[in-house]
Amino acid sequence: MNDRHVQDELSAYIDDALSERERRRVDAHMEKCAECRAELADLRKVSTMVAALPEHELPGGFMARLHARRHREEAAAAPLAWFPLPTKTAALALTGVIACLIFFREVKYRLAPAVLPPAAMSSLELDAKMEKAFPEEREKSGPVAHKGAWSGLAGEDDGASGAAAARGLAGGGGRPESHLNPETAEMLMRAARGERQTLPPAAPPPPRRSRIGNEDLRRFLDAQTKALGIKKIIKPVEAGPVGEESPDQPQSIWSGVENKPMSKDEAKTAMRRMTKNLYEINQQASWKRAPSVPISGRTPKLLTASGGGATRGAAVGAPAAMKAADKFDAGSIAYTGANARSKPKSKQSVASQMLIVKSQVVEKPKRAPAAPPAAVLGMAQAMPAAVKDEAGKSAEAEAGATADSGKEAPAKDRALAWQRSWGGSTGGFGEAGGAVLKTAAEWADLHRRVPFAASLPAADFTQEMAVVIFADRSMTKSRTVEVVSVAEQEGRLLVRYRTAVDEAKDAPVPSAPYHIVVVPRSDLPFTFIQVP
Amino acid sequence: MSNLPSEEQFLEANAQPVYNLALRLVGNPSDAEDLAQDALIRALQALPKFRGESSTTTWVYRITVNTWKNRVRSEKRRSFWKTLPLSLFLGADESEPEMSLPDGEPPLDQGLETEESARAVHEALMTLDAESRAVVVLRDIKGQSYQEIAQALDLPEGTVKSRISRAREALKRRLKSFVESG
Repeated sequence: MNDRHVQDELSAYIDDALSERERRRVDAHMEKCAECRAELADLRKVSTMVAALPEHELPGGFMARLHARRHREEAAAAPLAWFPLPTKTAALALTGVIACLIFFREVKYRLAPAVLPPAAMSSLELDAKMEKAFPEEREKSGPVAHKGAWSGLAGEDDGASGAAAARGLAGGGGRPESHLNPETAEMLMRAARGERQTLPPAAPPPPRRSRIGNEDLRRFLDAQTKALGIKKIIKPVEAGPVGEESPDQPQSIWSGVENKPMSKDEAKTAMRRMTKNLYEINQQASWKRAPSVPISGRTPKLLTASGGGATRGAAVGAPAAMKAADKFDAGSIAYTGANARSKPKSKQSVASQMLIVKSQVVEKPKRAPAAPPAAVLGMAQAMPAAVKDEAGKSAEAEAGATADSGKEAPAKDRALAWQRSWGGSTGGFGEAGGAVLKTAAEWADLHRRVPFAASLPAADFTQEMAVVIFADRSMTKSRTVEVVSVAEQEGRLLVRYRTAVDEAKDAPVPSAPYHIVVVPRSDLPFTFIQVP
Repeated sequence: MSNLPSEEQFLEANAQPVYNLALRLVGNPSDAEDLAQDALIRALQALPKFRGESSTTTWVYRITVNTWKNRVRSEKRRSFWKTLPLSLFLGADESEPEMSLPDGEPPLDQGLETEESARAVHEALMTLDAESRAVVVLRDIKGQSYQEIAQALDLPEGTVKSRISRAREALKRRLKSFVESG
């Protein structure tokens, strides 16, 4: 045992790091082993040489560089260190708020699906929706081609079989206002029939990804807005003149969409819901924002503004007037412009009878407007040629019977003084037409369809009658219509009216204009004439 | 804790020893200054938390060695595929120590009386692996006990003992001519 070399312990022996027992063993071995003694000497020398390495002074400027470096590193570790504490606190709080806003916004938008094709509403859903919104259009099996005073000015649409349903859509089912244009309605109809390939690909094909980003949602909403023909998102208003909203109307685009993580299918359903909401909210808003306003500078004279017997209340005046009303011919009436929900089932109801058939439509002679509106063209086309002759026969009857004339009227006119008038660029039926109302029932029904005053204005139909005129709905132009004058001439009643497009408006709004004038009663046959 | 040295006192007592330790660990003055400053800054930052379990010298040596080890480790990672010793390709004699002095720097320990042997020892130290170099420097230059070295390098004392033994054997082989002549 003692004969074993102790070279492995020699280094620790030099450093006095051996236990007492080990040290004694090393000492005992080295007394006999020259090799280990030589090794010990070599190692001692190596250790001494290493220990003899000289100490070096610090390089010049070492401490200055040390302090500068320390300052730099501390500044880098705390970049806002030189700001006062309140500033740092405020900056931190602001950053936190912004981060939270971004986070929650992201969370909200990431619920949306990657891409939903713009008209991806299923046929069933669309059918159900249309059924609910426009029940009468679904009931109709074919086109309704009625002739009468109301349809007389809208000749271009009469008998157009294929477009009936689409027109219903475009007209909002007879509601006063809608932002859907006929092309979009046709597109939706095709979509409902399953012809999806005809829809414009407003969004790129759905990429394979699990996360939905803001850009995806924006693209989707843009595409939907475009596909629905919506040019402007209108904020909903609290209350409006049309009080026929259903209780389940969406309050926002997000109505009915839960704020929670969704699967792709759930997200698609949510996006369909949002599309529906977008459509309905916009439609509601446009209805509610259809005000009754004066046109062409004519201030409507409401009930309290006029005097005499005409100011009697409706409750008193209407039954009396109905009792005293002349018999009239209900005729056949086009209902395409009527409000769907107020339309009675029976064709012979008071509402239908309101539409007077004693009208005669006369083309304005020798006048060729540069760009006649569709309504005017429609009226011209609908004009029966015979009417002119018939009108001509009685031309002399009332000649010279009167008095003054308006600016537009010939000298032979006997203008009827206006008692009251109401008008608006929106809120009308949306189809060109004119009529003379002579009974309280007609008056009440008209008010129900076109709520031109806050409550039903009184009218004494024993002494008064109402002349009403509508122009076609325009989705892109601010169109107006006004009665220029109502005058007796040559044994007939001439209603001169004027249509115009308000080019002054920067942003054209959809319009469905109307004008109502109450004049002294006359039993002469009436004729509508457009004047420039 | 109340007898903690101030920063100025700490730097005055330890800056030069730390610089010399760094010099023997990295082998050239510029890298040594960088390492020493890095270690001293860390030590100053940690000084308020120093619990006095060892002397401040042992403590700051430990910080220096750890800082150096981290540098060596990251440097190895960075340059493993980029640089290999030329000797691997030229079949150079392994016993020939590599020169670690950067270009343009004067040789360390120049002008001293024992210049030649000092340079030889320094260069022999540079041929050792990092851990062996550290234990020898801490033991023979800095006079640290095996226990202190074990603390500084976070090694068992037995490992320190065997590392010192092997490192001295290696130095003896490289400094053969000086050892035998002396």
